[in-house]
Amino acid sequence: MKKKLPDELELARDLLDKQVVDRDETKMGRVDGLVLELREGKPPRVDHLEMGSAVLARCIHPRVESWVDALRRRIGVQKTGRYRVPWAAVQEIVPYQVKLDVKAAETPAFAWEHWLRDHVIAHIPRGLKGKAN
Amino acid sequence: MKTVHLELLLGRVVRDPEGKKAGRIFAVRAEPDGEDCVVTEYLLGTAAMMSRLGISAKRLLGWPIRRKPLSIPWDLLDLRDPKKPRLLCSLAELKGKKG
Repeated sequence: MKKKLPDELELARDLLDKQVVDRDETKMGRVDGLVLELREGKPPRVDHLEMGSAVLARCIHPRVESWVDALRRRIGVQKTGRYRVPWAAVQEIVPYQVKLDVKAAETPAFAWEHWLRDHVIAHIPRGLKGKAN
Repeated sequence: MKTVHLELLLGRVVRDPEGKKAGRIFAVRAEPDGEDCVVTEYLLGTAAMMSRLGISAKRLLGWPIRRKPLSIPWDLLDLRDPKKPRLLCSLAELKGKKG
Protein backbone atom coordinates (compact mmCIF):
# COMPACT_ATOMS: atom_id res chain seq x y z
CA MET A 1 0.00 0.00 0.00
CA LYS A 2 1.34 3.44 -0.91
CA LYS A 3 1.82 5.87 1.98
CA LYS A 4 -0.16 9.11 1.98
CA LEU A 5 1.95 11.61 3.87
CA PRO A 6 2.08 15.40 3.55
CA ASP A 7 5.21 16.91 1.94
CA GLU A 8 5.97 18.69 5.20
CA LEU A 9 4.99 17.79 8.74
CA GLU A 10 4.96 19.78 11.93
CA LEU A 11 5.48 16.84 14.24
CA ALA A 12 3.83 18.13 17.42
CA ARG A 13 0.82 19.62 15.64
CA ASP A 14 0.28 16.89 13.06
CA LEU A 15 1.01 13.78 15.14
CA LEU A 16 0.88 14.25 18.90
CA ASP A 17 -2.55 13.57 20.43
CA LYS A 18 -4.02 12.60 17.06
CA GLN A 19 -6.55 9.77 16.81
CA VAL A 20 -4.95 6.53 15.65
CA VAL A 21 -6.87 4.06 13.48
CA ASP A 22 -5.86 0.68 12.09
CA ARG A 23 -6.09 -0.41 8.46
CA ASP A 24 -9.84 -1.10 8.93
CA GLU A 25 -10.40 2.38 10.43
CA THR A 26 -10.88 0.91 13.93
CA LYS A 27 -10.01 3.51 16.55
CA MET A 28 -7.16 2.32 18.76
CA GLY A 29 -6.13 5.32 20.86
CA ARG A 30 -4.10 8.46 20.42
CA VAL A 31 -0.47 9.26 19.71
CA ASP A 32 0.94 9.94 23.17
CA GLY A 33 4.61 10.19 22.27
CA LEU A 34 7.05 10.35 19.42
CA VAL A 35 10.65 9.19 19.49
CA LEU A 36 13.39 10.69 17.33
CA GLU A 37 16.60 8.83 16.58
CA LEU A 38 19.71 11.04 16.60
CA ARG A 39 22.24 10.02 13.94
CA GLU A 40 25.81 11.18 13.50
CA GLY A 41 26.05 13.58 10.55
CA LYS A 42 22.49 12.90 9.42
CA PRO A 43 19.21 14.59 10.34
CA PRO A 44 17.26 13.02 13.22
CA ARG A 45 14.61 10.60 12.00
CA VAL A 46 11.27 9.64 13.49
CA ASP A 47 11.87 6.16 14.88
CA HIS A 48 8.48 5.28 16.34
CA LEU A 49 5.22 6.57 17.79
CA GLU A 50 4.21 5.63 21.32
CA MET A 51 0.80 5.01 22.81
CA GLY A 52 -0.23 4.08 26.32
CA SER A 53 -0.85 5.24 29.85
CA ALA A 54 2.82 5.10 30.87
CA VAL A 55 3.79 7.45 28.03
CA LEU A 56 1.17 9.98 29.13
CA ALA A 57 2.30 9.65 32.74
CA ARG A 58 5.91 10.35 31.71
CA CYS A 59 4.82 13.75 30.37
CA ILE A 60 3.68 14.65 33.88
CA HIS A 61 6.75 13.34 35.71
CA PRO A 62 9.06 10.29 35.47
CA ARG A 63 7.96 9.30 38.98
CA VAL A 64 4.30 9.24 37.88
CA GLU A 65 5.41 6.96 35.02
CA SER A 66 6.93 4.49 37.48
CA TRP A 67 3.73 4.60 39.62
CA VAL A 68 1.59 3.87 36.56
CA ASP A 69 3.94 1.03 35.59
CA ALA A 70 3.77 -0.45 39.09
CA LEU A 71 -0.03 -0.23 39.08
CA ARG A 72 -0.19 -1.88 35.65
CA ARG A 73 2.01 -4.75 36.83
CA ARG A 74 -0.17 -5.20 39.91
CA ILE A 75 -3.41 -5.30 37.90
CA GLY A 76 -1.78 -7.50 35.28
CA VAL A 77 -4.10 -6.72 32.37
CA GLN A 78 -1.59 -5.13 30.02
CA LYS A 79 1.81 -6.71 29.39
CA THR A 80 3.23 -3.28 28.63
CA GLY A 81 2.24 0.31 29.35
CA ARG A 82 3.66 1.40 26.02
CA TYR A 83 2.71 0.33 22.55
CA ARG A 84 5.44 1.29 20.08
CA VAL A 85 4.54 1.73 16.45
CA PRO A 86 7.48 1.86 14.02
CA TRP A 87 7.36 4.72 11.52
CA ALA A 88 7.19 2.16 8.70
CA ALA A 89 3.68 1.20 9.91
CA VAL A 90 2.32 4.75 9.45
CA GLN A 91 0.24 4.72 6.28
CA GLU A 92 -1.62 8.01 6.21
CA ILE A 93 -1.63 11.29 8.10
CA VAL A 94 -4.64 13.57 7.73
CA PRO A 95 -5.63 16.50 9.97
CA TYR A 96 -7.95 14.39 12.11
CA GLN A 97 -6.24 10.98 12.30
CA VAL A 98 -3.17 8.82 11.78
CA LYS A 99 -3.75 5.56 9.94
CA LEU A 100 -1.52 2.57 10.67
CA ASP A 101 -0.91 -0.55 8.63
CA VAL A 102 -1.70 -2.84 11.57
CA LYS A 103 -4.70 -4.79 12.85
CA ALA A 104 -5.88 -3.24 16.12
CA ALA A 105 -7.03 -6.56 17.60
CA GLU A 106 -3.52 -7.97 17.25
CA THR A 107 -1.91 -5.09 19.16
CA PRO A 108 -1.74 -4.38 22.91
CA ALA A 109 -4.11 -1.43 22.31
CA PHE A 110 -7.14 -3.59 23.06
CA ALA A 111 -5.74 -5.40 26.13
CA TRP A 112 -8.38 -3.94 28.45
CA GLU A 113 -11.22 -4.77 26.05
CA HIS A 114 -9.98 -8.35 25.73
CA TRP A 115 -9.66 -8.67 29.51
CA LEU A 116 -13.22 -7.38 30.02
CA ARG A 117 -14.53 -9.76 27.33
CA ASP A 118 -12.84 -12.78 28.92
CA HIS A 119 -13.35 -11.96 32.60
CA VAL A 120 -16.62 -10.01 32.76
CA ILE A 121 -18.75 -10.25 29.61
CA ALA A 122 -18.15 -13.99 29.28
CA HIS A 123 -19.63 -14.55 32.77
CA ILE A 124 -22.84 -12.56 32.21
CA PRO A 125 -25.78 -14.99 31.92
CA ARG A 126 -26.99 -15.35 28.36
CA GLY A 127 -30.40 -13.76 29.06
CA LEU A 128 -28.80 -10.56 30.34
CA LYS A 129 -26.64 -10.17 27.25
CA GLY A 130 -29.70 -9.07 25.28
CA LYS A 131 -29.79 -12.09 22.97
CA ALA A 132 -33.21 -13.14 21.67
CA ASN A 133 -32.71 -16.93 21.99
CA MET B 1 21.04 4.22 19.44
CA LYS B 2 20.56 7.69 20.91
CA THR B 3 16.92 8.73 21.02
CA VAL B 4 14.95 11.78 22.11
CA HIS B 5 11.30 11.93 23.12
CA LEU B 6 9.70 14.77 21.17
CA GLU B 7 7.02 15.43 23.78
CA LEU B 8 9.74 16.01 26.40
CA LEU B 9 11.71 18.27 24.07
CA LEU B 10 8.84 20.68 23.47
CA GLY B 11 9.01 23.75 25.68
CA ARG B 12 12.73 23.33 26.46
CA VAL B 13 14.81 26.50 26.47
CA VAL B 14 17.54 26.63 23.81
CA ARG B 15 20.73 28.51 24.66
CA ASP B 16 23.66 29.43 22.45
CA PRO B 17 27.30 28.61 23.38
CA GLU B 18 27.54 31.90 25.30
CA GLY B 19 24.52 30.98 27.41
CA LYS B 20 22.22 33.47 25.71
CA LYS B 21 18.58 32.34 25.57
CA ALA B 22 17.32 31.77 22.04
CA GLY B 23 13.78 30.75 22.98
CA ARG B 24 11.70 27.66 23.67
CA ILE B 25 11.15 24.84 21.19
CA PHE B 26 7.49 24.81 20.25
CA ALA B 27 7.49 23.03 16.90
CA VAL B 28 9.60 20.59 14.93
CA ARG B 29 9.36 20.41 11.16
CA ALA B 30 10.03 17.20 9.29
CA GLU B 31 9.62 15.81 5.81
CA PRO B 32 9.31 12.31 4.39
CA ASP B 33 12.60 11.01 2.99
CA GLY B 34 12.05 7.66 1.31
CA GLU B 35 10.83 5.25 3.98
CA ASP B 36 11.91 7.63 6.74
CA CYS B 37 10.66 10.92 8.09
CA VAL B 38 13.53 13.27 8.91
CA VAL B 39 13.65 16.46 10.96
CA THR B 40 14.52 19.58 8.96
CA GLU B 41 14.27 22.35 11.54
CA TYR B 42 13.22 23.31 15.05
CA LEU B 43 10.98 26.35 15.53
CA LEU B 44 11.28 28.61 18.54
CA GLY B 45 9.22 31.41 20.03
CA THR B 46 5.63 32.56 20.31
CA ALA B 47 4.99 32.42 16.57
CA ALA B 48 6.01 28.74 16.62
CA MET B 49 3.60 28.08 19.48
CA MET B 50 0.77 29.79 17.56
CA SER B 51 1.63 27.70 14.52
CA ARG B 52 1.55 24.54 16.65
CA LEU B 53 -1.87 25.45 17.98
CA GLY B 54 -2.99 26.14 14.43
CA ILE B 55 -4.04 29.73 15.12
CA SER B 56 -2.76 32.99 13.74
CA ALA B 57 -2.45 36.23 15.67
CA LYS B 58 -4.49 37.89 12.96
CA ARG B 59 -7.42 35.57 13.56
CA LEU B 60 -7.05 35.62 17.32
CA LEU B 61 -6.43 39.29 17.98
CA GLY B 62 -7.63 40.92 14.81
CA TRP B 63 -4.32 42.30 13.61
CA PRO B 64 -1.40 40.71 11.82
CA ILE B 65 1.87 40.04 13.60
CA ARG B 66 4.62 39.70 11.04
CA ARG B 67 7.05 38.05 13.43
CA LYS B 68 8.17 34.65 12.17
CA PRO B 69 9.36 31.83 14.42
CA LEU B 70 13.10 31.53 14.86
CA SER B 71 14.02 28.41 12.95
CA ILE B 72 17.10 26.35 13.73
CA PRO B 73 18.29 23.91 11.05
CA TRP B 74 18.69 20.35 12.37
CA ASP B 75 22.49 20.50 12.13
CA LEU B 76 22.77 23.58 14.34
CA LEU B 77 21.08 22.15 17.43
CA ASP B 78 22.89 19.85 19.84
CA LEU B 79 20.39 17.46 21.43
CA ARG B 80 22.84 15.17 23.19
CA ASP B 81 21.34 16.45 26.45
CA PRO B 82 17.64 16.88 25.54
CA LYS B 83 16.99 18.73 28.80
CA LYS B 84 19.47 21.41 27.75
CA PRO B 85 19.39 21.84 23.96
CA ARG B 86 22.29 23.98 22.76
CA LEU B 87 22.82 26.00 19.64
CA LEU B 88 26.04 25.15 17.83
CA CYS B 89 26.51 28.77 16.71
CA SER B 90 25.85 32.08 18.41
CA LEU B 91 22.36 33.55 18.35
CA ALA B 92 23.65 36.56 16.39
CA GLU B 93 25.18 34.24 13.75
CA LEU B 94 21.92 32.32 13.44
CA LYS B 95 19.87 35.48 13.01
CA GLY B 96 22.50 36.73 10.53
CA LYS B 97 22.14 33.58 8.46
CA LYS B 98 18.37 33.95 8.42
CA GLY B 99 18.45 37.66 7.66
